[in-house]
Amino acid sequence: MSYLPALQSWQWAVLGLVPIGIILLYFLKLRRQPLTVPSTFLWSRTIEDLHVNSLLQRLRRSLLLLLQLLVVGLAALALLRPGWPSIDQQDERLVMLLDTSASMRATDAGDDKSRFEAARRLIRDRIDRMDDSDVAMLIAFNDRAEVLQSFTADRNRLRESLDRAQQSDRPTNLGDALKAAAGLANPNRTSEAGNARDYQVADALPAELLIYSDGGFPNVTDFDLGNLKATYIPVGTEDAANVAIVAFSAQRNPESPEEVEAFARIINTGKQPQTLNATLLMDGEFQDAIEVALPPGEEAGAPFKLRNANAAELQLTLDVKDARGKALIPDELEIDDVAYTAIVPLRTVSVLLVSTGNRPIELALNTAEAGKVCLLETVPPSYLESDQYKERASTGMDDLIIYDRSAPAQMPLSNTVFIGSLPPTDWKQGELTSPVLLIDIDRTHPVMRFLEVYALQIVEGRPLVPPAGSVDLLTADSGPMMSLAPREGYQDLVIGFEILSDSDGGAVFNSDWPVQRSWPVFVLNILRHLGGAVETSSAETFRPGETVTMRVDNRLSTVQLKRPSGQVETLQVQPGGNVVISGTDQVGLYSLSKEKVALGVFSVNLFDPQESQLERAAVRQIGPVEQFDTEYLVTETQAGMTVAAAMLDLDAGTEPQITAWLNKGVVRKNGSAAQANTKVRTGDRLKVIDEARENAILRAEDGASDVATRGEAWRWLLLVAIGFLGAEWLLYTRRLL
Amino acid sequence: MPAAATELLSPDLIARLERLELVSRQMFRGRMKGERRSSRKGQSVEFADFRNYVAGDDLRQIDWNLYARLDQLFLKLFLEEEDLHFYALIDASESMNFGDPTKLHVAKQLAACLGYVGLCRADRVKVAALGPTGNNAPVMRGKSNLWRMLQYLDSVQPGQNVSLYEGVKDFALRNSGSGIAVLITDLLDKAGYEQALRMLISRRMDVYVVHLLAPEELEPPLQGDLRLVDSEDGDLAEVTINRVLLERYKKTVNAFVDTAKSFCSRRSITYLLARTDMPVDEMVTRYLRERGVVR
Repeated sequence: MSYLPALQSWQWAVLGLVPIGIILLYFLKLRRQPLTVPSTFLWSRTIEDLHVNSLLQRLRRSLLLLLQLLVVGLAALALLRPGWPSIDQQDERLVMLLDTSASMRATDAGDDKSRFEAARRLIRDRIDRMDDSDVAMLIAFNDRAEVLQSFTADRNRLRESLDRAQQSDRPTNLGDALKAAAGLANPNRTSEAGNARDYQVADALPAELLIYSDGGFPNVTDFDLGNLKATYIPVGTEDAANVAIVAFSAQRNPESPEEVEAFARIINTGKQPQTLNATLLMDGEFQDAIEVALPPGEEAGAPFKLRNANAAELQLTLDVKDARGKALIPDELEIDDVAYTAIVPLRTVSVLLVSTGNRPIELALNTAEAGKVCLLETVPPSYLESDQYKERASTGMDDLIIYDRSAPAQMPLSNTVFIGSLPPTDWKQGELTSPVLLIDIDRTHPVMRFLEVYALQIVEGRPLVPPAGSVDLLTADSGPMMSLAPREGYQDLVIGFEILSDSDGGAVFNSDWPVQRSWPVFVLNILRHLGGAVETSSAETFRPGETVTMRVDNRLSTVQLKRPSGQVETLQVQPGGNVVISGTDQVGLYSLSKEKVALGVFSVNLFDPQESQLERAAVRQIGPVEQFDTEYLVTETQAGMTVAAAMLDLDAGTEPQITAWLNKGVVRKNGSAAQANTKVRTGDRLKVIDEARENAILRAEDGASDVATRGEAWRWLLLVAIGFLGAEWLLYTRRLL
Repeated sequence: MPAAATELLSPDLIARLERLELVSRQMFRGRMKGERRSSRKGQSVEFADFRNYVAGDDLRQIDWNLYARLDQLFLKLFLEEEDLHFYALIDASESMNFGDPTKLHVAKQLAACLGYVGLCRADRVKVAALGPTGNNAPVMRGKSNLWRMLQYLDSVQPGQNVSLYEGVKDFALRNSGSGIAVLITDLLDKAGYEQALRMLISRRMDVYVVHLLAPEELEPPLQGDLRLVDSEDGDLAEVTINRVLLERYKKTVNAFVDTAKSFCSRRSITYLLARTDMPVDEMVTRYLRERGVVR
């Protein structure tokens, strides 16, 4: 017998006072109400008779006391939670994964309205077949997982959670759902004495993973199922027909901006060739239609030419049904039959260049590309003292201010670039070094994209000591030479060397960057990343559910967002002019405006060939290959590679997994044990044998598994205590009446 | 009529009482000629018996018819008519000062009723409270003394905590004549009532006991843990009133009543149990009449 006290020490002390109080009360003299009667003659006679039964009276009083003490005692015992090791026959622990991705909208589900409804029906049937000792959990997944119901034996709760599951238009990513399932199937357990919510330390328990899906997810090879035995329950048909739009955009002709070209890519994921019309609407009005012939499994382009000088909303629809709703061609998924885009007004950025004269920068800011998006104003450093500057700096009128060998007294409400100078606060510089030898460049940063600057020559420069949170974009032998630091929603790019230096003879080049090809690209990157320039005329498109960030004039505090449903809401503009939009599950056009002035638009489309590929996969791969007993055939691509490299190339598992298998000696090449460095040839068969897992699979199929649990008696003790309480009440009321 | 009179006897009740008559089961020897039969043989019109003639007897008493038949001289004897002595004894102890109306008040009413009946019949009536105040009780005869009786009764206050025996003994010493004695009491004397009643019997009185109890004493509306205080001696009794105890109490009351009834019946005492919630006129004209106290 073991105990798990439910109370703290001081609480036990308080409980201990209760029986003492009960006993004391019994021994305290009863307070009796005095009452004058004509004579106690007859009462005395009456009581005399009772005195004969005083023993019974005393016993009756003692019985009440005994019952009350028993109730308190049983309650205290229940609070001690006595228990003993026990074995629970637990048949099944089920983890049910329900696919709610876009492809589950497909209507090839027989009597069910969609694959999603078919999957729900199958899960419902499975829940109905559960025994009282089975427990199950339900997780809905698309590109993220949502636990609808954690482990429970309550079938009604499971059914309610199943009813709460909703179809989405998101793509599929099984990985998160598997991690959630594995984590919840065997949560970490601790053991702490005296903790009422203690769970005993236990090994991971086996569980059956049921995946209700149409298989529209890539193989997941970097996940170890462990004690989860996975079963894939497919919904849908293997020969579902579908045509889908997988890309759609519109661009203005840069030569003739009033001419717009719209282009769409359409695929046929079915097994039969299809010919269909694609209709283009502009602002809800018919513009054009084109006939598209699609062989099975092939895609085709659909170009359109339009004339529109302004912003416009475009919608492309595949005519898979006629006006009466009758199907013209077989198409099981509707959501990818419509695509949206918009022609947006070009967003130009206003750039203020503070310089005594910097021809390279001015030239770079006036290239054809830069000129399309940039409105440049050049001022001398003395302008910084003017009231005009102070006003524009304090109101954030400019999208970007470039300080060339100059610096303001106070930082403006704009992004900034400092060339050969420092911001007035938080930045420091080292000693002048010459020459400056660059040793590192952060190519991943958008500002440094497409740049090749290792051959850059810099005469002299000062290494930077940027504030905390900054990113070093260029590093020289003496220290960082270009860093980007955040500043309360804005960004400051500081270059530690000058492009042009002042000398007695005038301005001289301090670097040959301006004559390098990367220089105008660098300036354009700055315009895009720091200025927020958008040089494309097509609205950006996003996937359903993605969080979208749009850039608007940073002087605005709020903007209105109109969703495809027509709902309008007000959003806050963050410092820097960024607007974050979430909840983009619905496909269609989203537009930002302020007082009826259009600020920007973006579209949400499915554009997911994998989701549009409705052919139900017969086999999916989760975890190491051997679960599905797959043998990998080495092709010419892998020929000559080592076993490890070939397995990695064949997507047999992750690198650590493959290394572990090779070390354990469970990799077979053509049936024989393979070494890591053994080379493979075309036609070799690679396989991983995991005897332990195979045994584990067999064990899991043996049927009911005994699970060690803890039997507890507190419920029975409480029940008995309630029984005694009832008896005590009964006895007391009989005594009164 | 004084206000106290109307409290004790209403005009309507008085009118009805005038038609009643006290009933005695024995023949008593009174001091004056009244309307009662006496066992003393005397001169009256009612023939009682014969005896032989002896020299000196009144010749007018000789039954000549009997002489003619038997040739012997016999004298006729006649019952002498005598008046009745009526005593109403009221227990005025503190225990009688209970109920609404109080037992003492009802006792006074009863005594007034019975006393008036006797006064109407020219009986010798004395209504007295047991204890010292009984010494002041007037002896009355005739209806005109009604007011004196009522005046006395009005002066009787509760709290005469004299035991029944002492009270009766004192009465017996002061009143040597026999007659009808109606003892109106609750019999709740811890010293017992038996000696008192025996004393009355020894005076060869026609004893009636009216056992007067309030409804609250017969069915007490009490509950809970109580400390009962005796109104006469302050005695305490701690009780926890519940259904069981109440049933026991009622049994005790019934047993007490039965014991008193039994004691009385064995001694030719008429026992009457009366409740204070019974109207007095009904008690007298019906209840007492049914039991032969009045006719």
